Amino acid sequence: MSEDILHGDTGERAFGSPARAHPAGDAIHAVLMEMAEESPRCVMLCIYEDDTGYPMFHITDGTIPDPATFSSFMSQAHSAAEEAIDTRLGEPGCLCQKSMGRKRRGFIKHVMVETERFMMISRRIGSRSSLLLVLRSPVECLGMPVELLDRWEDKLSELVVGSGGLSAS
Amino acid sequence: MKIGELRTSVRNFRAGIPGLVSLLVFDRERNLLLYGESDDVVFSLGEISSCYARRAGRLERAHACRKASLGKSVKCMNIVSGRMAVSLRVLSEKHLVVGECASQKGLGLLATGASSLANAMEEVENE
Repeated sequence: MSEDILHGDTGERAFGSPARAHPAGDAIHAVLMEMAEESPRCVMLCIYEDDTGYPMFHITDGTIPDPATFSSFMSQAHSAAEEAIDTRLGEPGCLCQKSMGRKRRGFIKHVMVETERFMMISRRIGSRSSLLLVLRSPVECLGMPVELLDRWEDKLSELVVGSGGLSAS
Repeated sequence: MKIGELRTSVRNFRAGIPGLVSLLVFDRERNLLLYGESDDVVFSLGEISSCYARRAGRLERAHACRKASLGKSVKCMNIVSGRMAVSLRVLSEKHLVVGECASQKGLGLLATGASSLANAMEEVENE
């Protein structure tokens, strides 16, 4: 499996400046691999932005042809969902579920998008970062992925946001 | 099937999902609310529908250029939040249903009932 596939960015960077590796990149990937071992039919994808705001990802399966597509699509879908729920519940403002040290009333636990081919579940693990689970088949993985997110969220959040490497917001 | 029968069909669908807060049926092509009912006393139906119409539009635009990788169409989008669970489910090329439930449990019932609602909508379209 190519390292280029396991760690990458989601498109052409302006001015050709290289993406800055996350200091906890290897640890993040190791956690994702542990999650993938627990749920073999799922592909784990972790997205975050580097310190220039450029989206980066880690993925656990090199057979997914274009992981950047999933990263980009689910980031947009998740943001759209957050804006809609904030508007719907009359709580515009910060998108972070744990902003100001407490959970907001309307915070989003997860967003799930299903196409004919995949089911994708995402959850924020920081103000800009999302964790994605890309499932090969919607039928095969009912229920478990969300429970998986619940159990590993804190660990990933700690690595992505709290490692002292990249800014969280 | 006439529109009146469709309304009955939608109401029956709604009655079968305890905890359903709102149910909206959209025309996807025209981004138009065809049917809506809500128990929300704070927001009007118009405010609720405009919120989801915008989001459905954004989702379709985001998906449009990535169909080859993601799959031909988005079948469903569920949002589970601390206060309500929302499902946007495509019924057909023309129709989309949005259901707001008090808890995540309602989403399963919404998914189960959606196919019969889709059939009812199709019958109306074909008449």
